[in-house]
Amino acid sequence: MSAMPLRDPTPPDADTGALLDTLVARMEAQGFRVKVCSRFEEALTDVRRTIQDRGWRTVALPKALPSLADGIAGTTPPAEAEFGLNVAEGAVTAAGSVVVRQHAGQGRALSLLPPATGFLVPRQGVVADLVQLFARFDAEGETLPAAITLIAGPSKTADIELELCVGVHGPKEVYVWLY
Amino acid sequence: MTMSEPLPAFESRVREALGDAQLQGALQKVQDQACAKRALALRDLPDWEAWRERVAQSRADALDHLEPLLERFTREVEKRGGTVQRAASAQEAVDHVLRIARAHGVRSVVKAKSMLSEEIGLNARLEREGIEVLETDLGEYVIQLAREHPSHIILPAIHKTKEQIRDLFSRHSGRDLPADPAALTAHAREALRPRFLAADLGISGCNLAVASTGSVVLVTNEGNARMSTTFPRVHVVLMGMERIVRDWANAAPVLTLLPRAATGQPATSYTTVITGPKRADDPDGPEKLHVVIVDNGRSEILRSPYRSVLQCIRCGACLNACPVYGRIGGHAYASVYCGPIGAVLTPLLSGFEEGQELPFASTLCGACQEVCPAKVPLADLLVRLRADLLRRYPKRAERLTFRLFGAAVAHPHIFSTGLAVAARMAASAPASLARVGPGARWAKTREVPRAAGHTFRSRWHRGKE
Repeated sequence: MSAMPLRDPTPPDADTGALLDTLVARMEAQGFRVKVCSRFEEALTDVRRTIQDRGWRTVALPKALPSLADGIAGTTPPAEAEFGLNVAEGAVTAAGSVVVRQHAGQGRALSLLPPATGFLVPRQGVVADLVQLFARFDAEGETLPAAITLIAGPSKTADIELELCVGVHGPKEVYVWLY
Repeated sequence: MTMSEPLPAFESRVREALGDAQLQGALQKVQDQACAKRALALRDLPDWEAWRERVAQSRADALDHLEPLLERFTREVEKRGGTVQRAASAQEAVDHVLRIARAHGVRSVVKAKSMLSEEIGLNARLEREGIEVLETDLGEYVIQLAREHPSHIILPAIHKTKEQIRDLFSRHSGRDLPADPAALTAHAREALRPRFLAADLGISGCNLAVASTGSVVLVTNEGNARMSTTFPRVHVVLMGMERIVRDWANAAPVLTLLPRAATGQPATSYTTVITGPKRADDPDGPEKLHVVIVDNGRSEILRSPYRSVLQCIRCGACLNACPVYGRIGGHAYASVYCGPIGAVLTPLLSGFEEGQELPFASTLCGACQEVCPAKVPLADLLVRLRADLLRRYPKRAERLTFRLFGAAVAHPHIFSTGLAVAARMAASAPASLARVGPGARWAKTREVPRAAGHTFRSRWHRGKE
């Protein structure tokens, strides 16, 4: 485990609108590039635009989103993709992290192997903190998937002279589309 | 080593560390940065003290019900298709891993960071059996190539400079690399990526195990633990037997404070919750999940007055706060766990056989205890250990001194006369006398004050007149 740079985070607020602002601020502090969208379709449109703008030619997608492949050079396995897109189940405000669940349509590699990854995050899946998130885990019990990953920014390390370097084993660039 | 010997090994390691300007600089930087980040983390999380209390309660609850919780955890893992094995000793733990490796025809292993694997000496045994083991945490990878040991719980290679790491990586890869952390990190990514994808077995530690769902939680920043537990077909979890909590409600406070106490982060890049092996229709993940729960002296500690040390969540905050660690660094401890937690754990885990000098290498300032997110009373445990160690390995001179002192204080007349004589003798003695005899070790690094020539008691009586 290694360190992240010094940043002064915004203190949390109980108000819902402010909670969303706090989430965005914290995600940005963690290194995510965040886009707030009003609807899912708008988020998808922005994903497409970002893929084009960034010039990514190989993209890995979860099974649930085949339509996104239209107009994209080609979808590939995560190991060969420049960008991997994930559908998150929500986010944790206090930590600025997204919550990603493994299932038949979405493997762990999607958010791990490509040098850039993105997450579609539904607003209704946003919780205040780990206490709220874990209350769901306790309630769910039997059906927890093989892997749930809370992701907060790019892969990083400070193991060499405490200098922060991103993308040591996982992605260097991380995107969030909050809808 | 017994306490009556002059401890030359420890002392020479300390002297070496103090004379190492590069190490001194690195340690200063680690502690300064940790201190600044801690201040931010404290400001970021209101009610820090209330969270600490909740962590301490969650950990104490786990220790109070350890056996039933481990049984519950085992049932839940097995229900999901994983296996759990218990190891009483380091030897047994390594044997379990070897058996698993052989049963699956494993030839190559990728390892995420695990202090427990250092504790049980896993790598050396696996390599002796012809199994290739690769450390994949950047710091651990550096240490493995250099054939050294970690010098910090979460920053294992912090004693090495980028120039030293450049030389290591260049020699190992046969390429001419620059002394630039970003370039060296990129090199490690490139060198390790194919190894993750080709390995048969991934070994990880366990930051926390949740009994109610049979889940294992890994807290990391680099992503190497995710790589090690996603692509190899077998995953072995090495878990210290105390690393468990009852349910997710009890996991929340621990995982709230762990990253904040360790690096000042509200969350590390990855908090991975692993519950069983991959399901039949999952696109990736290991087919087999084996958890090895290691005792190796922990039940003994659980039954002792030192049980609260098992509340530790291995964040390393006590190292970052300790004035002694801050000067001598991790290697001077010559043990798997260093710093204040190492000074307590090392003698205890070894049944008082190892690290006997470590509890004495402390100022007892209590900084460790103050920063500990799990409220482990480290300074109190250090004092208790000192007493225990002196009882076990008494120094003859010390015992005699205390017996004489005991006799003297029991007789007021002898006591006051003795004090007055001693005061006059001390005042007339040359200062150089302090550099020989029992006070020599103390005087070696300190200015010896001149004695006043009269006692406090005489001044007290004069003052009253």
